[in-house]
Amino acid sequence: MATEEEIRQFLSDNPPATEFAPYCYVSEAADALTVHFKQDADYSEKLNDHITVYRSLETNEIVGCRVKGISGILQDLHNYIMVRDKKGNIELALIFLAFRGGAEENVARTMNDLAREAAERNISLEMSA
Amino acid sequence: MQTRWILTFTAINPANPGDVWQVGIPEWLYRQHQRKGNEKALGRIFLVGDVLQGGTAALRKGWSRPGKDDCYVYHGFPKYDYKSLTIQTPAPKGMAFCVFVLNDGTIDEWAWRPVSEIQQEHEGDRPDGITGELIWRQKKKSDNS
Repeated sequence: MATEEEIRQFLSDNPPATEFAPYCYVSEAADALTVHFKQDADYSEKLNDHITVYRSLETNEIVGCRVKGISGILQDLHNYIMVRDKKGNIELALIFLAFRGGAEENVARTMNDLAREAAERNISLEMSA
Repeated sequence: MQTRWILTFTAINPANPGDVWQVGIPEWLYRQHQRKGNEKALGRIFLVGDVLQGGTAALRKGWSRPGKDDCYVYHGFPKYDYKSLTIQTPAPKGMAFCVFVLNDGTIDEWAWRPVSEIQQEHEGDRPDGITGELIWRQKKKSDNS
């Protein structure tokens, strides 16, 4: 059981990198892709069964997202698009395309916002992770 | 199982809410946030501890999506938030802090989630989109009246 003091000590011993950098990762156990564009204090908003967006508590703008049920998309994606580089990484923006078609207007708009954020920050998903 | 957890917490046991079990943050997940400098995510580990260890308002089974019916969501109402490891701010109004736990006790995510007014009044302060089976919730004064 981690007490508050133990957590404080642990964080002190394992400090974060000094500069925030946008990133994404896949949790295989949760079958979910998580993306952080910015490190604003945020809250989560469930958009639909597949997408939860993280919004800034201060400005309400999107600062990240969580894509659920990602494994099937990643398996199928190479049938539709070219991967980005020799490492086989996938441009994150393309993943949002999978949720764009046939979506309700507000979902489609959010997918566009997420794709733009990912493209502007040049984020890729490392397929070896 | 627990050796791959870098931080371990004691939480209400979903299989027997009168008892506790161990849950934990996996090292790979901590390192993701650490390497990318996400201080907010790391600072909020204090809130994970708060909600799991004495501050649980409710525990639900199921993440409301296929294949994840055996996972859990703990939520509570900490009085503060962390913008970084050292900057503490008041908790956002009308929100619950949720800790998402896999069926083996591995913590997978933690986040604030709005609680709509109607849910505050009628559904035991259920955060928006958290629709799993209610396993346990903290008794309210109104429960005894």
